[in-house]
Amino acid sequence: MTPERWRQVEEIFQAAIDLQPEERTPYVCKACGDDTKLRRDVETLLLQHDSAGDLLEKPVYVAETDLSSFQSLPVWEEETDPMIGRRLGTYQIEREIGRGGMGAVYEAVRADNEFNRRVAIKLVKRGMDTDFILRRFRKERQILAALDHPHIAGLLDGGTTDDGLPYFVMEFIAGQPIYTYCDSRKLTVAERLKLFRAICDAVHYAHQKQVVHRDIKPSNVLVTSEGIPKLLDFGIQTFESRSGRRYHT
Amino acid sequence: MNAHPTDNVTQLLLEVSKGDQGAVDLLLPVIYDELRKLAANYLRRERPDHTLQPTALVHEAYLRLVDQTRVNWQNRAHFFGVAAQIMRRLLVDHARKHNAEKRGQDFQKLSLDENIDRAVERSGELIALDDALKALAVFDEQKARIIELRYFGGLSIEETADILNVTPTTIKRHWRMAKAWLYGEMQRN
Repeated sequence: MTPERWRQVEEIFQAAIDLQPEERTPYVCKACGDDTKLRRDVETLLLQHDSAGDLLEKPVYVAETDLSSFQSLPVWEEETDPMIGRRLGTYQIEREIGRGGMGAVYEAVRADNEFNRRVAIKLVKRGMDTDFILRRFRKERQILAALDHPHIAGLLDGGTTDDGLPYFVMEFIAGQPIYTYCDSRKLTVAERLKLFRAICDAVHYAHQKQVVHRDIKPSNVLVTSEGIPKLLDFGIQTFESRSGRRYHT
Repeated sequence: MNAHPTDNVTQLLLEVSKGDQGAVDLLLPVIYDELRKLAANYLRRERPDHTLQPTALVHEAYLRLVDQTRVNWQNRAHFFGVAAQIMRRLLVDHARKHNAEKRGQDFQKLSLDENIDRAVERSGELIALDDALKALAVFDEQKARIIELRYFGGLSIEETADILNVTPTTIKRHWRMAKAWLYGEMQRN
């Protein structure tokens, strides 16, 4: 199941569920057209929806016999990401700052440490390097390369790892989400609008370059401590922090 | 230090809500430890049907660890969100360990009928759910997150909507489709 196919299935499924039962089949047939596989996927899902019953509504069963896993646990172990500590070009990966379906975003620093420059490196996840995803990734990189604006997190570099995974390097933005920034500093309406206008300017600039962000939301706008707002994440997949390591706030 | 026991976690939670990612790292082991202890205590008690409400444990941990007078609904939602992840991990690890010990048993096709009470099958459900959630997360991380937050963390639809920054209607739509897909996936395996 690819994300794209899933979206197609979802569109039809959600609409069908809202119809009366007798209206569903004709609707699904019409919506799927010639795509018999799509129709099968949707119909299967509709059947499963009706059969699922109280799945997820019952309490969890826990075998009583062995409590040792609850008594003597080691410290919470994070799943060690093999990328942490790795060198990519002139950069050293330090920690993960986000994760999405396609891959992850890491914070890295210039290995020569002379400038101590922080960057964000976006990397395709191993196992996700299908043609479909690689094409999307390269497209995102192309898009970013074409955008040069003070309020858009800029592309710095790119490459391929030793094992053939593409990555690109972006400006690292140390900042707070715009709503947090505004609320914590109790900004006036005028001050908030000033930030807003800067982002509008960035979006307008992107539109002029035929680029649509498609996921503009407050958590994608970070404001630095100097008060400069930056629009992030032109990828079609959003990168949110994964709970467990970094919780999405 | 004369710190009140709830001071540390409450403070960390407030920092998490301000966007401090480092605070999450510090918060995790504390919540983990509390949930672990609560689970152990709960499991020692007599439970004729061997069931556990993970949401009850998470709620208990919240009452013990957090000073409610200092937090708002958003902080609370963050706690539950993190705790949901931990609760899932605790329970699934336990189930996998338990089932690994029963090596050689014949795993029957999963049934979701409440009358089935064989230990291995029932533990197997949780493992199957975890596997299915991981598979779902590959092409729809949002739905997997919603299931985790609600099933393991006990967040309501409204709370889940707030924490994910979408409407309750959106949550309901995600939920119904995710549930259908998970059911199918668990039946297949």
